[in-house]
Amino acid sequence: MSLPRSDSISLAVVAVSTLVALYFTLTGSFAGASAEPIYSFEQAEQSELFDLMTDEFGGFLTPTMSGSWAMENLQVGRKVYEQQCIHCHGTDGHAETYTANLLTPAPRDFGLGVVKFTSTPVGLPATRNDLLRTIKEGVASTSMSRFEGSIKEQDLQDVADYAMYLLIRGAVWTNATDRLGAGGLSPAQAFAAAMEDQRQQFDLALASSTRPKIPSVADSARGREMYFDNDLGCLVCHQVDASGGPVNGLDLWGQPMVARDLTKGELRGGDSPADVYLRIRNGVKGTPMPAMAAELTPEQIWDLVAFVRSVQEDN
Amino acid sequence: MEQPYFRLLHRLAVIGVVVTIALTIGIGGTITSAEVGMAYPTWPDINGGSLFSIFYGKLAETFGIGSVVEHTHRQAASLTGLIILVLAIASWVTRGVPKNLRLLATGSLVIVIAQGLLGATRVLENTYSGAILHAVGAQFVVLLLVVLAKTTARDWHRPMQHFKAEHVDRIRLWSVVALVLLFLNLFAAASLRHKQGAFEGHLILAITTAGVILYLIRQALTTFREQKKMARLARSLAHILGTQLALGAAAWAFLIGPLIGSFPDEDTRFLAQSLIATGHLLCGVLVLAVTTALWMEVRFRIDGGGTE
Repeated sequence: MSLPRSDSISLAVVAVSTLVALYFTLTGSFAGASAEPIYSFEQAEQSELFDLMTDEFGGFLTPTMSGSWAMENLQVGRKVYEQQCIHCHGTDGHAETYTANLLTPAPRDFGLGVVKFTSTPVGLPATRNDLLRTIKEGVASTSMSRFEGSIKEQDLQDVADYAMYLLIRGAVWTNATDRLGAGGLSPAQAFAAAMEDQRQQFDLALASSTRPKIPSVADSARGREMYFDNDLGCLVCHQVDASGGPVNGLDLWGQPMVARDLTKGELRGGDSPADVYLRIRNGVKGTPMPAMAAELTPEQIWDLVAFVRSVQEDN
Repeated sequence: MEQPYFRLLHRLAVIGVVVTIALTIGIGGTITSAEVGMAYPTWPDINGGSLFSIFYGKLAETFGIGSVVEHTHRQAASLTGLIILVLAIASWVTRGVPKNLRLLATGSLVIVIAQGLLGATRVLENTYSGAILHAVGAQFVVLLLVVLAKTTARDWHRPMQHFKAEHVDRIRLWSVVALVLLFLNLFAAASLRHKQGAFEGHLILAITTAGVILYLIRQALTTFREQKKMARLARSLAHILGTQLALGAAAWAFLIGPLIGSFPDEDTRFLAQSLIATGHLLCGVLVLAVTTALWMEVRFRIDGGGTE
């Protein structure tokens, strides 16, 4: 079929515009509707504190942080965050998004500076590697999917940096506003004290972070005895048949709590023996799951780990 | 001699088109609009509940409303798959069905299964590229179902219409170009919706595609003005395209343009944006479906041997 000249010209125009469009689609990235959040504070002191926070941490879209953080990594991390995380965790990490309202459990609010699953003792914040682990492996039975393999390793590292930035920023803000609320300090003093606390806490967290090895042999019978020991309190929440269930009260973020069903083998902090060890040793932060580091020896904790694993295998 | 009419096959294909567009793609689009695609990160089951479990209340309580939307999408997609499975089986057990039609029905079954597995991969691997391919794959299923619905229709074997070869060739050419552009634009739109592609790509392709379809409509209305079926198809396409362009403009203005801040509260913003984005998606699928029908008519039911 020979095409009339007008159709040939039209086809050429269509082809060129299609190629240009595909170029934009394949090489461009989404310039989304993300905008720097605007807050209104009732007290002038809080506005002043927020200005100090902005001087130290920059905007959420243009993050900066003193210490060993590479700004370019934080900025790339922010871009990855906008693509992968923002719809659940929100522009400022407070998880106040509509999508978050549609999910149970609610996505983590970084604003309090606390996350549940860490390698650090109770009272200390998470390390960057704790966040990286959660980003890579996800949280079982929740909408927090595993990202290892679906995005580049460097992007994982950068978004972990940015998540750590949100966590530190949240911790400092919470600490400083608490100090302001207690009275007696100016915003600058409260901010300086919160920054100092943050440095000490995160240094301590790094020093005390534990990554235990997997045990070769552990006696689940001893673990079973401990589980049924009323003094230890496992039964109070996890029940005699280890099926868990609702727990009275709300967690730190105001969400209803459910003691994990140990028989199903879907533990949100991770199923591996090392993960279970850390949950027993360090607890689940912001929830009644206590840290047993002071009550139990490492060997006893491993016995409990062996019991928990045997419950999963039996079911 | 009167050609055979396979009523069951035709009805299944039409039901398949309706279910796929209204339910499977409608709910699937809502998932992307609400960004709850990973609310239900396991496949095929969720904590012991099967794909066919009706446990919406428990699911909402345990995993949130987002997981119910995802679960319902999977159930709707299973219904699409089931309809095509029955259609494929019926095509082989019904006597007199042409071999090409049987192969088309079987091919559609293979495609819909592949589409389901692609959806599973998107969830299990948590990849945006999988999500984009899954979105485009859904449109391909619609195209196949429209082709099946057309070729099993009672009037498919009516006498050929004869028109001037030059005009028919032109409309055939531009209907194929329109279909190719529609798929490329769907790819660009899916990339944009999954925050991967730039807006400019979708905009340029949308303008180009709309221009081609408008030209196609004009040619069809001019050439086939005495042919009721073709004229009706062309007019339907014009109406749907007009609606689609309006929805596209609204999506731009309210989602990323100057009206983004015009909502009274966050809930209203989210609901309105979801409705506009999902409506724009569904209208795009309708444009594809009607353009496919028009291409089928001009490719197989119109002859270019006439003198006008």
